[in-house]
Amino acid sequence: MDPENRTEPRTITIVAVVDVVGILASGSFAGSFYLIDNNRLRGSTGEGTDSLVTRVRPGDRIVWIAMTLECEAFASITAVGIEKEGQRQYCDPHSYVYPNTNIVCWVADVAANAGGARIPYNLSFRLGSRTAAMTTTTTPQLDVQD
Amino acid sequence: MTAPAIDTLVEVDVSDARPLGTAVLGPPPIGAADYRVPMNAVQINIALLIDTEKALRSGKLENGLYMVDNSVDAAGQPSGSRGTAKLCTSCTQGMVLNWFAFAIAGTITPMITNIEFLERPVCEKLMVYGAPAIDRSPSYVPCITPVYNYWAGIVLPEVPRGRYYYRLDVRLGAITMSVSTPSLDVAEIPKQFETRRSEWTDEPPPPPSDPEQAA
Amino acid sequence: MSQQLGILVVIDNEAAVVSGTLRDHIYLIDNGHWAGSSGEATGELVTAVEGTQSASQLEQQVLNWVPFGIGSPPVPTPQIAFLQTPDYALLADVPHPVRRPQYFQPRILDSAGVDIRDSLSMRDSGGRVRLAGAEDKTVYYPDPAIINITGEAVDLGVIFPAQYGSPDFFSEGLYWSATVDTNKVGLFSYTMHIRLHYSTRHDGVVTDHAITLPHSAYIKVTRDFAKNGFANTPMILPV
Repeated sequence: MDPENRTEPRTITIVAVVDVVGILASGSFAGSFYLIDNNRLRGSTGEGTDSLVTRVRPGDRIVWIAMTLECEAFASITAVGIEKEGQRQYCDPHSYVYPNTNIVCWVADVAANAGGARIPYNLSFRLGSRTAAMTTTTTPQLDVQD
Repeated sequence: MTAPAIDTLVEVDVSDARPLGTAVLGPPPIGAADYRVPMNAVQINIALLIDTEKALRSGKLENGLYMVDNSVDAAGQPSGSRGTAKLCTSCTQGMVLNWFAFAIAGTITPMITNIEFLERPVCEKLMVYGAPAIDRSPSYVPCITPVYNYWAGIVLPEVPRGRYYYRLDVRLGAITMSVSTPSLDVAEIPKQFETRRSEWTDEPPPPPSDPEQAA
Repeated sequence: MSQQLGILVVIDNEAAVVSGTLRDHIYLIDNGHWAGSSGEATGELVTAVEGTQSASQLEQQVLNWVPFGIGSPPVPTPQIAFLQTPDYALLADVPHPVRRPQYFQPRILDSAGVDIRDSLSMRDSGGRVRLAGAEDKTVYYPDPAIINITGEAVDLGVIFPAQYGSPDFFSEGLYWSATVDTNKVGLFSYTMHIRLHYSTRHDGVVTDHAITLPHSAYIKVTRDFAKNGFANTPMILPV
Protein backbone atom coordinates (compact mmCIF):
# COMPACT_ATOMS: atom_id res chain seq x y z
CA MET A 1 0.00 0.00 0.00
CA ASP A 2 3.05 2.24 0.02
CA PRO A 3 2.77 5.01 -2.55
CA GLU A 4 5.16 4.75 -5.45
CA ASN A 5 6.41 8.29 -4.86
CA ARG A 6 7.88 7.64 -1.45
CA THR A 7 10.45 10.41 -1.50
CA GLU A 8 8.51 13.00 -3.47
CA PRO A 9 7.21 15.86 -1.31
CA ARG A 10 3.47 15.74 -0.81
CA THR A 11 0.87 18.40 -0.39
CA ILE A 12 -1.14 17.61 2.71
CA THR A 13 -4.42 19.44 3.20
CA ILE A 14 -5.86 20.16 6.64
CA VAL A 15 -9.55 21.10 6.52
CA ALA A 16 -10.92 23.12 9.44
CA VAL A 17 -14.70 22.70 9.49
CA VAL A 18 -16.46 25.27 11.65
CA ASP A 19 -20.09 25.51 12.73
CA VAL A 20 -20.22 29.30 12.62
CA VAL A 21 -23.64 29.60 14.25
CA GLY A 22 -22.60 27.26 17.06
CA ILE A 23 -19.35 29.10 17.76
CA LEU A 24 -20.91 32.56 17.77
CA ALA A 25 -23.82 31.41 19.90
CA SER A 26 -21.69 29.71 22.55
CA GLY A 27 -18.61 31.92 22.36
CA SER A 28 -16.37 28.87 22.09
CA PHE A 29 -15.12 26.37 19.55
CA ALA A 30 -16.01 23.38 21.73
CA GLY A 31 -18.32 21.04 19.87
CA SER A 32 -18.27 23.21 16.73
CA PHE A 33 -14.78 22.71 15.30
CA TYR A 34 -13.40 19.70 13.45
CA LEU A 35 -10.01 19.12 11.83
CA ILE A 36 -9.47 16.54 9.11
CA ASP A 37 -6.45 15.86 6.89
CA ASN A 38 -5.72 13.50 4.00
CA ASN A 39 -2.79 11.70 5.59
CA ARG A 40 -4.49 9.15 7.79
CA LEU A 41 -3.03 6.29 5.77
CA ARG A 42 0.46 7.52 6.56
CA GLY A 43 0.00 8.06 10.25
CA SER A 44 -2.19 11.06 11.13
CA THR A 45 -4.35 10.54 14.22
CA GLY A 46 -7.30 12.32 15.77
CA GLU A 47 -9.13 12.81 12.47
CA GLY A 48 -12.33 14.77 12.95
CA THR A 49 -11.40 16.11 16.38
CA ASP A 50 -10.15 19.51 17.49
CA SER A 51 -6.74 18.01 18.28
CA LEU A 52 -5.69 16.46 14.99
CA VAL A 53 -2.09 15.23 14.80
CA THR A 54 -0.95 15.44 11.19
CA ARG A 55 1.91 13.18 10.20
CA VAL A 56 4.25 14.95 7.78
CA ARG A 57 7.77 14.64 6.36
CA PRO A 58 10.40 17.32 5.92
CA GLY A 59 9.77 18.99 2.57
CA ASP A 60 6.01 18.37 2.58
CA ARG A 61 3.66 21.27 1.89
CA ILE A 62 0.80 21.85 4.32
CA VAL A 63 -2.34 23.70 3.20
CA TRP A 64 -4.97 24.81 5.75
CA ILE A 65 -8.45 25.66 4.49
CA ALA A 66 -11.68 26.60 6.27
CA MET A 67 -15.13 25.23 5.51
CA THR A 68 -18.52 26.07 7.00
CA LEU A 69 -21.61 23.92 7.37
CA GLU A 70 -23.91 26.36 5.59
CA CYS A 71 -23.17 27.86 2.20
CA GLU A 72 -24.31 31.31 3.32
CA ALA A 73 -22.11 31.36 6.42
CA PHE A 74 -18.77 33.10 6.26
CA ALA A 75 -15.52 31.82 7.78
CA SER A 76 -11.92 32.62 6.93
CA ILE A 77 -8.63 31.70 8.59
CA THR A 78 -6.82 34.86 9.68
CA ALA A 79 -3.74 33.19 11.17
CA VAL A 80 -2.01 29.86 11.72
CA GLY A 81 -0.08 30.38 14.94
CA ILE A 82 2.98 28.23 15.62
CA GLU A 83 2.89 28.24 19.38
CA LYS A 84 6.57 27.65 20.15
CA GLU A 85 8.63 30.51 18.80
CA GLY A 86 11.67 28.29 18.30
CA GLN A 87 9.68 26.12 15.92
CA ARG A 88 8.76 28.85 13.50
CA GLN A 89 11.95 28.07 11.58
CA TYR A 90 10.45 24.64 10.86
CA CYS A 91 7.11 25.88 9.61
CA ASP A 92 6.19 29.43 8.61
CA PRO A 93 2.60 29.64 7.34
CA HIS A 94 1.51 32.44 5.00
CA SER A 95 -1.83 33.29 3.49
CA TYR A 96 -2.68 32.90 -0.17
CA VAL A 97 -5.76 33.57 -2.27
CA TYR A 98 -7.18 31.28 -4.94
CA PRO A 99 -6.87 32.87 -8.40
CA ASN A 100 -9.24 35.77 -8.95
CA THR A 101 -11.18 35.16 -5.76
CA ASN A 102 -10.92 36.35 -2.20
CA ILE A 103 -10.97 32.87 -0.72
CA VAL A 104 -7.96 32.46 1.53
CA CYS A 105 -5.86 29.43 2.43
CA TRP A 106 -2.68 29.17 4.51
CA VAL A 107 0.39 27.34 3.26
CA ALA A 108 3.64 26.29 4.90
CA ASP A 109 6.52 24.08 3.82
CA VAL A 110 7.99 21.77 6.43
CA ALA A 111 11.68 22.60 6.69
CA ALA A 112 14.28 20.01 5.78
CA ASN A 113 15.75 20.12 9.29
CA ALA A 114 12.42 19.67 11.07
CA GLY A 115 12.66 15.90 11.36
CA GLY A 116 11.48 14.60 14.71
CA ALA A 117 9.70 17.81 15.74
CA ARG A 118 6.18 17.94 17.13
CA ILE A 119 4.77 21.35 16.21
CA PRO A 120 1.59 22.50 18.01
CA TYR A 121 -0.39 25.27 16.35
CA ASN A 122 -3.66 27.17 16.72
CA LEU A 123 -6.00 28.70 14.16
CA SER A 124 -7.63 32.12 14.20
CA PHE A 125 -10.83 32.76 12.27
CA ARG A 126 -13.08 35.56 11.16
CA LEU A 127 -16.59 34.20 11.59
CA GLY A 128 -19.87 35.62 10.32
CA SER A 129 -20.26 39.29 11.01
CA ARG A 130 -18.07 39.31 14.13
CA THR A 131 -15.21 41.75 13.56
CA ALA A 132 -12.77 40.37 16.12
CA ALA A 133 -11.00 37.15 15.18
CA MET A 134 -11.43 34.11 17.43
CA THR A 135 -8.58 31.70 18.18
CA THR A 136 -8.80 27.98 18.95
CA THR A 137 -7.49 26.77 22.31
CA THR A 138 -6.94 23.07 21.64
CA THR A 139 -3.63 21.54 20.54
CA PRO A 140 -3.57 20.19 17.02
CA GLN A 141 -0.05 19.58 15.85
CA LEU A 142 2.23 18.59 13.02
CA ASP A 143 4.18 15.42 13.77
CA VAL A 144 7.30 15.47 11.60
CA GLN A 145 8.75 12.12 10.67
CA ASP A 146 12.48 11.68 11.05
CA MET B 1 -28.39 25.64 -0.88
CA THR B 2 -31.64 27.51 -0.66
CA ALA B 3 -31.97 28.59 2.96
CA PRO B 4 -33.38 32.09 3.15
CA ALA B 5 -31.60 32.93 6.40
CA ILE B 6 -30.36 36.49 6.42
CA ASP B 7 -26.89 37.03 7.87
CA THR B 8 -24.82 40.09 7.29
CA LEU B 9 -21.18 39.62 6.51
CA VAL B 10 -18.23 41.89 6.56
CA GLU B 11 -15.15 42.82 4.70
CA VAL B 12 -12.03 40.68 4.96
CA ASP B 13 -8.58 42.10 4.65
CA VAL B 14 -6.66 39.86 2.29
CA SER B 15 -3.97 42.45 1.63
CA ASP B 16 -1.33 40.19 3.16
CA ALA B 17 -2.34 37.25 1.03
CA ARG B 18 -0.30 36.21 -1.93
CA PRO B 19 -1.94 34.77 -5.01
CA LEU B 20 -1.70 31.06 -5.68
CA GLY B 21 -0.38 30.33 -9.13
CA THR B 22 0.18 27.31 -11.27
CA ALA B 23 3.43 27.14 -9.37
CA VAL B 24 2.29 26.80 -5.79
CA LEU B 25 3.90 29.95 -4.53
CA GLY B 26 2.77 32.65 -6.89
CA PRO B 27 4.25 36.04 -7.61
CA PRO B 28 3.94 38.75 -4.96
CA PRO B 29 0.61 40.58 -4.97
CA ILE B 30 0.23 43.61 -7.15
CA GLY B 31 -1.56 46.55 -5.58
CA ALA B 32 -2.20 44.90 -2.24
CA ALA B 33 -4.55 47.70 -1.26
CA ASP B 34 -6.93 46.60 -4.01
CA TYR B 35 -7.48 43.34 -2.23
CA ARG B 36 -9.81 44.96 0.25
CA VAL B 37 -13.05 43.92 -1.40
CA PRO B 38 -16.37 43.20 0.28
CA MET B 39 -16.26 39.66 1.52
CA ASN B 40 -19.79 38.48 1.08
CA ALA B 41 -21.13 34.99 1.28
CA VAL B 42 -20.42 33.13 -1.91
CA GLN B 43 -24.12 32.42 -2.18
CA ILE B 44 -26.25 35.50 -1.88
CA ASN B 45 -29.95 35.14 -1.18
CA ILE B 46 -32.25 37.91 -2.35
CA ALA B 47 -35.73 37.64 -0.86
CA LEU B 48 -38.76 39.27 -2.46
CA LEU B 49 -41.32 39.70 0.31
CA ILE B 50 -44.61 40.51 -1.39
CA ASP B 51 -47.86 41.80 0.02
CA THR B 52 -49.84 40.34 -2.85
CA GLU B 53 -53.08 42.06 -1.87
CA LYS B 54 -51.49 45.50 -1.81
CA ALA B 55 -49.71 44.94 -5.09
CA LEU B 56 -52.83 43.73 -6.86
CA ARG B 57 -55.09 46.36 -5.35
CA SER B 58 -52.80 49.21 -6.35
CA GLY B 59 -51.80 47.72 -9.68
CA LYS B 60 -48.13 48.36 -8.92
CA LEU B 61 -45.76 45.64 -7.75
CA GLU B 62 -43.46 48.12 -6.02
CA ASN B 63 -46.26 49.11 -3.64
CA GLY B 64 -46.20 45.68 -2.11
CA LEU B 65 -42.61 44.58 -2.66
CA TYR B 66 -39.97 44.54 0.07
CA MET B 67 -36.59 43.18 -0.92
CA VAL B 68 -33.82 42.07 1.43
CA ASP B 69 -30.59 40.17 0.95
CA ASN B 70 -27.75 38.74 3.04
CA SER B 71 -25.03 40.82 1.46
CA VAL B 72 -23.17 43.91 2.64
CA ASP B 73 -21.87 46.91 0.78
CA ALA B 74 -18.23 47.98 0.60
CA ALA B 75 -18.53 49.80 3.94
CA GLY B 76 -19.78 46.67 5.64
CA GLN B 77 -23.33 47.95 5.89
CA PRO B 78 -26.46 46.04 4.82
CA SER B 79 -27.34 46.52 1.16
CA GLY B 80 -28.67 49.93 0.20
CA SER B 81 -32.42 50.47 -0.05
CA ARG B 82 -33.13 47.22 1.67
CA GLY B 83 -36.81 46.71 2.35
CA THR B 84 -37.81 48.42 -0.88
CA ALA B 85 -38.10 47.56 -4.54
CA LYS B 86 -34.83 49.42 -5.15
CA LEU B 87 -32.56 47.01 -3.33
CA CYS B 88 -28.95 47.28 -4.46
CA THR B 89 -27.12 44.02 -3.80
CA SER B 90 -23.33 43.99 -3.56
CA CYS B 91 -21.62 41.04 -5.17
CA THR B 92 -18.48 40.04 -7.03
CA GLN B 93 -17.75 38.11 -10.18
CA GLY B 94 -18.33 34.38 -9.88
CA MET B 95 -20.83 34.58 -7.03
CA VAL B 96 -24.07 32.66 -7.07
CA LEU B 97 -27.23 34.72 -6.53
CA ASN B 98 -30.56 33.18 -5.53
CA TRP B 99 -33.89 35.02 -5.77
CA PHE B 100 -36.88 33.79 -3.73
CA ALA B 101 -40.41 35.19 -3.64
CA PHE B 102 -42.61 34.93 -0.56
CA ALA B 103 -46.11 36.22 0.11
CA ILE B 104 -46.34 38.09 3.38
CA ALA B 105 -50.04 38.80 2.94
CA GLY B 106 -52.73 37.36 0.75
CA THR B 107 -53.41 33.85 -0.38
CA ILE B 108 -51.66 33.88 -3.74
CA THR B 109 -48.21 32.30 -4.07
CA PRO B 110 -46.02 34.69 -6.06
CA MET B 111 -43.75 33.22 -8.73
CA ILE B 112 -40.79 34.89 -10.37
CA THR B 113 -41.20 34.35 -14.10
CA ASN B 114 -38.23 36.29 -15.44
CA ILE B 115 -35.14 38.25 -14.47
CA GLU B 116 -33.43 40.30 -17.14
CA PHE B 117 -30.54 42.73 -16.85
CA LEU B 118 -31.20 45.98 -18.64
CA GLU B 119 -27.75 47.02 -19.84
CA ARG B 120 -25.87 43.82 -20.70
CA PRO B 121 -25.74 40.16 -19.60
CA VAL B 122 -24.50 40.00 -16.02
CA CYS B 123 -25.30 36.43 -14.99
CA GLU B 124 -24.78 33.07 -16.62
CA LYS B 125 -27.28 30.20 -16.19
CA LEU B 126 -29.85 32.78 -15.05
CA MET B 127 -33.07 30.80 -14.95
CA VAL B 128 -35.56 28.96 -12.80
CA TYR B 129 -34.30 26.20 -10.53
CA GLY B 130 -35.88 23.72 -8.17
CA ALA B 131 -37.23 20.96 -10.34
CA PRO B 132 -35.51 17.65 -9.66
CA ALA B 133 -33.23 16.18 -12.34
CA ILE B 134 -35.45 13.17 -12.81
CA ASP B 135 -33.01 11.16 -14.91
CA ARG B 136 -30.38 11.50 -12.17
CA SER B 137 -32.75 10.77 -9.30
CA PRO B 138 -33.60 7.06 -9.21
CA SER B 139 -35.82 7.50 -6.15
CA TYR B 140 -37.89 10.25 -7.69
CA VAL B 141 -41.61 9.80 -6.99
CA PRO B 142 -43.96 11.96 -9.09
CA CYS B 143 -46.05 14.37 -7.00
CA ILE B 144 -44.16 13.43 -3.83
CA THR B 145 -40.53 14.34 -4.43
CA PRO B 146 -40.59 18.08 -3.80
CA VAL B 147 -40.40 20.63 -6.58
CA TYR B 148 -39.15 24.08 -5.68
CA ASN B 149 -39.33 27.26 -7.66
CA TYR B 150 -36.75 30.00 -7.46
CA TRP B 151 -34.39 31.86 -9.76
CA ALA B 152 -30.61 31.85 -9.61
CA GLY B 153 -27.56 32.75 -11.66
CA ILE B 154 -23.79 33.07 -11.44
CA VAL B 155 -22.10 36.43 -12.03
CA LEU B 156 -19.95 36.38 -15.17
CA PRO B 157 -16.21 36.83 -14.72
CA GLU B 158 -15.83 39.64 -17.25
CA VAL B 159 -18.52 41.99 -15.95
CA PRO B 160 -16.86 45.36 -15.32
CA ARG B 161 -17.25 46.94 -11.93
CA GLY B 162 -20.49 48.90 -11.72
CA ARG B 163 -24.17 49.06 -11.00
CA TYR B 164 -26.51 46.91 -13.09
CA TYR B 165 -30.29 47.26 -12.95
CA TYR B 166 -32.53 44.33 -13.69
CA ARG B 167 -36.21 43.77 -14.38
CA LEU B 168 -38.12 41.32 -12.24
CA ASP B 169 -41.32 39.77 -13.60
CA VAL B 170 -43.51 38.28 -10.89
CA ARG B 171 -46.73 36.41 -11.51
CA LEU B 172 -49.52 36.87 -8.99
CA GLY B 173 -52.28 34.51 -9.96
CA ALA B 174 -53.35 35.44 -13.46
CA ILE B 175 -51.47 38.72 -13.53
CA THR B 176 -47.77 39.37 -14.16
CA MET B 177 -46.27 42.53 -12.73
CA SER B 178 -42.76 43.96 -13.07
CA VAL B 179 -40.27 46.30 -11.48
CA SER B 180 -37.01 47.54 -12.97
CA THR B 181 -35.62 49.25 -9.92
CA PRO B 182 -33.51 46.61 -8.14
CA SER B 183 -29.84 46.39 -9.03
CA LEU B 184 -26.55 44.61 -8.45
CA ASP B 185 -23.41 46.46 -7.48
CA VAL B 186 -20.61 44.35 -8.92
CA ALA B 187 -17.23 44.83 -7.28
CA GLU B 188 -14.29 43.63 -9.27
CA ILE B 189 -11.79 41.28 -7.70
CA PRO B 190 -8.36 42.28 -8.98
CA LYS B 191 -7.04 39.74 -11.44
CA GLN B 192 -3.76 38.75 -9.91
CA PHE B 193 -2.44 36.97 -12.93
CA GLU B 194 -3.43 35.27 -16.15
CA THR B 195 -4.26 31.59 -16.01
CA ARG B 196 -3.02 29.93 -19.14
CA ARG B 197 -4.51 26.93 -20.80
CA SER B 198 -2.80 23.61 -19.99
CA GLU B 199 -0.97 21.97 -22.85
CA TRP B 200 -2.23 18.55 -23.65
CA THR B 201 -0.87 16.02 -26.06
CA ASP B 202 -3.87 13.72 -25.65
CA GLU B 203 -7.60 14.21 -25.36
CA PRO B 204 -8.20 15.61 -21.88
CA PRO B 205 -10.28 13.41 -19.57
CA PRO B 206 -13.87 14.39 -18.83
CA PRO B 207 -14.40 16.48 -15.68
CA PRO B 208 -14.50 14.13 -12.67
CA SER B 209 -17.78 15.56 -11.40
CA ASP B 210 -19.54 14.41 -14.54
CA PRO B 211 -22.21 11.99 -13.34
CA GLU B 212 -22.87 10.76 -16.85
CA GLN B 213 -20.13 8.13 -16.61
CA ALA B 214 -21.58 4.66 -16.53
CA ALA B 215 -21.42 2.88 -13.18
CA MET C 1 -40.44 28.14 5.31
CA SER C 2 -38.53 24.89 5.38
CA GLN C 3 -35.80 24.05 7.84
CA GLN C 4 -32.59 23.28 6.03
CA LEU C 5 -30.20 20.69 7.43
CA GLY C 6 -26.83 20.42 5.72
CA ILE C 7 -24.65 17.32 5.77
CA LEU C 8 -21.03 17.83 4.75
CA VAL C 9 -19.59 14.61 3.30
CA VAL C 10 -15.81 14.92 3.63
CA ILE C 11 -13.78 12.23 1.88
CA ASP C 12 -10.09 11.36 1.65
CA ASN C 13 -10.33 10.22 -1.95
CA GLU C 14 -6.87 8.73 -2.36
CA ALA C 15 -7.16 6.72 0.85
CA ALA C 16 -10.59 5.41 -0.12
CA VAL C 17 -9.48 4.33 -3.59
CA VAL C 18 -6.27 2.72 -2.32
CA SER C 19 -8.12 0.94 0.51
CA GLY C 20 -11.13 0.04 -1.63
CA THR C 21 -13.50 1.31 1.04
CA LEU C 22 -14.86 4.56 2.42
CA ARG C 23 -14.73 3.17 5.96
CA ASP C 24 -12.32 5.28 8.00
CA HIS C 25 -11.92 7.70 5.11
CA ILE C 26 -15.29 9.48 5.20
CA TYR C 27 -16.24 12.10 7.76
CA LEU C 28 -19.85 13.29 7.98
CA ILE C 29 -20.72 16.57 9.67
CA ASP C 30 -24.13 18.18 9.89
CA ASN C 31 -25.37 21.45 11.36
CA GLY C 32 -27.75 19.64 13.70
CA HIS C 33 -25.32 19.13 16.53
CA TRP C 34 -27.34 21.40 18.80
CA ALA C 35 -30.56 19.66 17.80
CA GLY C 36 -29.35 16.22 18.82
CA SER C 37 -27.22 14.82 15.99
CA SER C 38 -24.43 12.48 17.08
CA GLY C 39 -21.30 10.99 15.52
CA GLU C 40 -20.18 14.31 14.03
CA ALA C 41 -17.04 14.04 11.93
CA THR C 42 -17.12 10.25 11.88
CA GLY C 43 -18.53 7.82 9.36
CA GLU C 44 -21.41 7.06 11.71
CA LEU C 45 -23.35 10.31 11.71
CA VAL C 46 -26.89 10.20 13.07
CA THR C 47 -28.70 13.28 11.78
CA ALA C 48 -31.44 14.35 14.16
CA VAL C 49 -34.61 15.66 12.57
CA GLU C 50 -37.31 17.06 14.81
CA GLY C 51 -40.75 15.80 14.04
CA THR C 52 -43.51 18.33 14.09
CA GLN C 53 -47.14 17.95 14.93
CA SER C 54 -48.11 20.43 12.27
CA ALA C 55 -49.17 18.86 9.02
CA SER C 56 -48.48 22.08 7.13
CA GLN C 57 -46.23 21.79 4.09
CA LEU C 58 -44.48 24.92 5.23
CA GLU C 59 -42.93 23.00 8.10
CA GLN C 60 -40.98 20.63 5.89
CA GLN C 61 -37.54 19.56 6.95
CA VAL C 62 -35.06 19.48 4.12
CA LEU C 63 -31.69 17.69 4.05
CA ASN C 64 -28.90 18.79 1.68
CA TRP C 65 -25.73 16.78 1.12
CA VAL C 66 -22.50 18.55 0.20
CA PRO C 67 -19.67 16.23 -0.91
CA PHE C 68 -16.14 17.49 -0.50
CA GLY C 69 -12.81 15.84 -1.23
CA ILE C 70 -9.86 16.68 1.00
CA GLY C 71 -7.24 18.11 -1.30
CA SER C 72 -9.67 20.39 -3.13
CA PRO C 73 -10.06 24.13 -2.68
CA PRO C 74 -12.92 24.88 -0.26
CA VAL C 75 -16.48 24.34 -1.50
CA PRO C 76 -17.32 28.07 -1.51
CA THR C 77 -14.46 28.88 -3.93
CA PRO C 78 -16.07 30.75 -6.83
CA GLN C 79 -15.76 28.95 -10.12
CA ILE C 80 -13.69 31.74 -11.59
CA ALA C 81 -10.70 30.15 -9.88
CA PHE C 82 -11.09 27.12 -12.15
CA LEU C 83 -11.62 29.03 -15.35
CA GLN C 84 -8.85 29.67 -17.78
CA THR C 85 -8.60 33.35 -18.61
CA PRO C 86 -9.04 32.86 -22.37
CA ASP C 87 -12.47 31.41 -21.58
CA TYR C 88 -13.81 34.49 -19.81
CA ALA C 89 -14.74 36.11 -23.08
CA LEU C 90 -16.37 32.90 -24.31
CA LEU C 91 -18.74 32.94 -21.38
CA ALA C 92 -20.01 36.40 -22.11
CA ASP C 93 -20.24 35.71 -25.80
CA VAL C 94 -22.10 32.46 -26.30
CA PRO C 95 -24.78 31.06 -24.02
CA HIS C 96 -23.93 27.76 -22.35
CA PRO C 97 -20.37 27.31 -23.55
CA VAL C 98 -20.34 24.01 -21.73
CA ARG C 99 -21.74 22.74 -25.00
CA ARG C 100 -18.33 23.34 -26.58
CA PRO C 101 -16.07 21.30 -24.30
CA GLN C 102 -13.09 21.38 -26.61
CA TYR C 103 -12.81 25.10 -25.95
CA PHE C 104 -13.83 25.13 -22.39
CA GLN C 105 -12.00 22.93 -19.95
CA PRO C 106 -12.09 23.77 -16.28
CA ARG C 107 -8.84 23.39 -14.41
CA ILE C 108 -8.91 20.80 -11.69
CA LEU C 109 -7.07 22.41 -8.83
CA ASP C 110 -5.76 20.97 -5.63
CA SER C 111 -5.86 22.91 -2.38
CA ALA C 112 -2.52 24.56 -3.23
CA GLY C 113 -3.82 25.89 -6.54
CA VAL C 114 -1.91 23.41 -8.69
CA ASP C 115 -3.66 21.96 -11.75
CA ILE C 116 -3.73 18.27 -10.92
CA ARG C 117 -3.70 17.14 -14.52
CA ASP C 118 -0.44 18.94 -15.21
CA SER C 119 1.41 16.14 -13.47
CA LEU C 120 -0.11 13.64 -15.91
CA SER C 121 0.81 15.40 -19.09
CA MET C 122 3.86 14.51 -21.04
CA ARG C 123 5.11 18.05 -20.54
CA ASP C 124 6.12 19.46 -17.21
CA SER C 125 4.61 22.71 -15.96
CA GLY C 126 7.32 24.68 -17.75
CA GLY C 127 6.22 23.17 -21.08
CA ARG C 128 9.30 21.01 -21.41
CA VAL C 129 8.90 17.50 -22.83
CA ARG C 130 9.58 14.80 -20.28
CA LEU C 131 12.16 12.16 -20.94
CA ALA C 132 10.85 9.10 -22.72
CA GLY C 133 9.78 6.40 -20.28
CA ALA C 134 8.40 8.84 -17.76
CA GLU C 135 7.62 7.08 -14.53
CA ASP C 136 4.22 5.61 -13.79
CA LYS C 137 2.00 7.93 -11.85
CA THR C 138 -1.48 7.92 -10.35
CA VAL C 139 -3.44 11.07 -9.78
CA TYR C 140 -6.51 11.08 -7.53
CA TYR C 141 -9.10 13.73 -8.33
CA PRO C 142 -10.26 15.20 -5.08
CA ASP C 143 -13.93 15.73 -5.88
CA PRO C 144 -16.29 12.88 -4.98
CA ALA C 145 -19.75 12.66 -6.53
CA ILE C 146 -22.80 11.16 -4.86
CA ILE C 147 -24.44 9.05 -7.55
CA ASN C 148 -27.43 7.75 -5.60
CA ILE C 149 -29.04 7.61 -2.18
CA THR C 150 -30.88 4.41 -1.26
CA GLY C 151 -31.67 2.27 1.76
CA GLU C 152 -34.19 1.90 4.54
CA ALA C 153 -34.97 5.60 4.91
CA VAL C 154 -35.81 5.80 1.20
CA ASP C 155 -37.70 2.51 0.98
CA LEU C 156 -39.89 3.42 3.96
CA GLY C 157 -40.66 6.88 2.64
CA VAL C 158 -38.89 8.69 5.44
CA ILE C 159 -36.76 10.72 3.01
CA PHE C 160 -37.43 11.65 -0.61
CA PRO C 161 -34.04 12.32 -2.16
CA ALA C 162 -33.46 13.77 -5.60
CA GLN C 163 -30.81 15.74 -7.42
CA TYR C 164 -31.42 19.39 -8.12
CA GLY C 165 -29.50 21.77 -10.37
CA SER C 166 -27.74 24.98 -9.42
CA PRO C 167 -25.89 27.69 -11.37
CA ASP C 168 -22.54 26.34 -12.53
CA PHE C 169 -20.25 27.33 -15.41
CA PHE C 170 -19.17 23.80 -16.26
CA SER C 171 -22.09 21.50 -15.53
CA GLU C 172 -25.65 21.36 -14.23
CA GLY C 173 -24.40 21.89 -10.69
CA LEU C 174 -26.32 18.90 -9.36
CA TYR C 175 -26.59 18.27 -5.64
CA TRP C 176 -28.67 15.88 -3.53
CA SER C 177 -31.55 17.16 -1.44
CA ALA C 178 -34.35 15.33 0.35
CA THR C 179 -37.48 16.22 2.27
CA VAL C 180 -38.19 14.28 5.43
CA ASP C 181 -41.57 12.85 6.36
CA THR C 182 -41.39 13.87 9.97
CA ASN C 183 -44.40 11.79 10.90
CA LYS C 184 -42.25 8.67 10.65
CA VAL C 185 -40.52 8.63 14.01
CA GLY C 186 -37.50 6.38 14.47
CA LEU C 187 -33.93 5.61 13.48
CA PHE C 188 -33.40 4.83 9.80
CA SER C 189 -30.31 4.06 7.78
CA TYR C 190 -29.60 5.32 4.29
CA THR C 191 -26.79 4.53 1.88
CA MET C 192 -24.85 6.98 -0.27
CA HIS C 193 -23.22 5.63 -3.42
CA ILE C 194 -20.15 7.71 -4.04
CA ARG C 195 -18.05 7.83 -7.18
CA LEU C 196 -14.34 8.57 -7.01
CA HIS C 197 -12.12 9.30 -10.00
CA TYR C 198 -8.45 8.78 -10.61
CA SER C 199 -6.12 8.62 -13.61
CA THR C 200 -3.03 6.55 -14.15
CA ARG C 201 -0.11 7.02 -16.48
CA HIS C 202 1.61 3.79 -17.48
CA ASP C 203 4.10 3.45 -20.32
CA GLY C 204 3.19 6.97 -21.34
CA VAL C 205 -0.54 6.24 -21.70
CA VAL C 206 -3.06 8.03 -19.48
CA THR C 207 -6.13 6.02 -18.46
CA ASP C 208 -9.10 7.33 -16.50
CA HIS C 209 -10.78 5.25 -13.82
CA ALA C 210 -13.81 5.56 -11.61
CA ILE C 211 -15.05 3.43 -8.74
CA THR C 212 -18.30 3.68 -6.83
CA LEU C 213 -18.26 2.91 -3.12
CA PRO C 214 -21.21 2.72 -0.73
CA HIS C 215 -21.45 4.21 2.73
CA SER C 216 -24.34 4.19 5.18
CA ALA C 217 -25.39 6.76 7.75
CA TYR C 218 -28.55 7.45 9.78
CA ILE C 219 -31.52 9.75 10.15
CA LYS C 220 -33.24 9.94 13.51
CA VAL C 221 -36.72 11.45 13.49
CA THR C 222 -37.86 12.43 16.95
CA ARG C 223 -41.28 13.48 18.12
CA ASP C 224 -40.89 16.68 20.03
CA PHE C 225 -43.88 18.68 21.12
CA ALA C 226 -43.76 22.34 20.14
CA LYS C 227 -42.66 24.35 23.14
CA ASN C 228 -44.25 27.52 24.39
CA GLY C 229 -41.42 30.01 24.04
CA PHE C 230 -42.36 32.01 27.16
CA ALA C 231 -43.04 29.28 29.65
CA ASN C 232 -40.84 26.62 28.05
CA THR C 233 -43.59 24.12 28.72
CA PRO C 234 -44.83 21.64 26.15
CA MET C 235 -47.73 23.01 24.21
CA ILE C 236 -50.18 20.68 22.57
CA LEU C 237 -51.23 22.01 19.18
CA PRO C 238 -54.86 21.69 18.24
CA VAL C 239 -55.32 18.93 15.69
